[in-house]
Amino acid sequence: MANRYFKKILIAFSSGTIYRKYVQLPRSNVPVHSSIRDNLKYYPFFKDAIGAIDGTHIACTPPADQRDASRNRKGFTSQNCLLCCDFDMHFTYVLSGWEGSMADASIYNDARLNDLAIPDGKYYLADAGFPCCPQLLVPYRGQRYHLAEWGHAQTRYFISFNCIHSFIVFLGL
Amino acid sequence: MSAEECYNLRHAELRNVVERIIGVLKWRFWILVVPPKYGMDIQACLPPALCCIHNIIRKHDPMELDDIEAAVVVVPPHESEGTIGSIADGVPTSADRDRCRG
Repeated sequence: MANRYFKKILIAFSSGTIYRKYVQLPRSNVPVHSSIRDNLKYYPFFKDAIGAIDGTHIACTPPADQRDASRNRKGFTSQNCLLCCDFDMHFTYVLSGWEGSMADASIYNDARLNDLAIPDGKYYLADAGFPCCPQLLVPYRGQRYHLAEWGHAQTRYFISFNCIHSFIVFLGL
Repeated sequence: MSAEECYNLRHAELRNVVERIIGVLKWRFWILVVPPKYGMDIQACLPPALCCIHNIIRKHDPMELDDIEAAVVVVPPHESEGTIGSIADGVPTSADRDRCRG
């Protein structure tokens, strides 16, 4: 009994009217988000970005015959979900149910063929695992990318600065 | 810094929002990290339903996100993993399972 109502609620929240009310794709006339508009580091370079897109692995327990297809490159069974969000931390699109062995690019292509509409002239920010196309803005490959790597670069700089500094102190300059 | 590196840095700063939102989602709903024994049709419905609930909470309690983000520990990505990393892609550990049971 409880299980039946759990399913009804789950379907209402995952595809029914409640879902459609709260998880909505951005309209074509959506204004530039304030975090981009008010920051000269981003404006006007990213003014047509309407959000960011990424795939993520959600752990799952598939039946035995689907277990091989669900195993991802990290070694556990998962479903690969495609998520889009806007800069206000709202989800705008969710596609779930793909096996963990599927690549982000394949899921994106499937979503585009179905119901992921991206207004003309707008784009999402995506990582290097996504295809390069007018609707997605991907980073340059073969260049430093991640924020953490920049953090490390800075640390190295400070270490060398400290070394030089202590050397100068040592010399009594 | 070359122009490409500068672009990549700004791109990473803006794209960070999706890494954060996935971290928050998995922190909020542990059923996404420690999977239930339901059939796959039910399990496939869980992420959209929970994303919907996340949006409802964002709408009716906008300040709540700050509390969650203060609690989320972002694991620094491993350099060899390139662009992938953080809590958003973490493999569930035995500690996660213990936490879920508790």
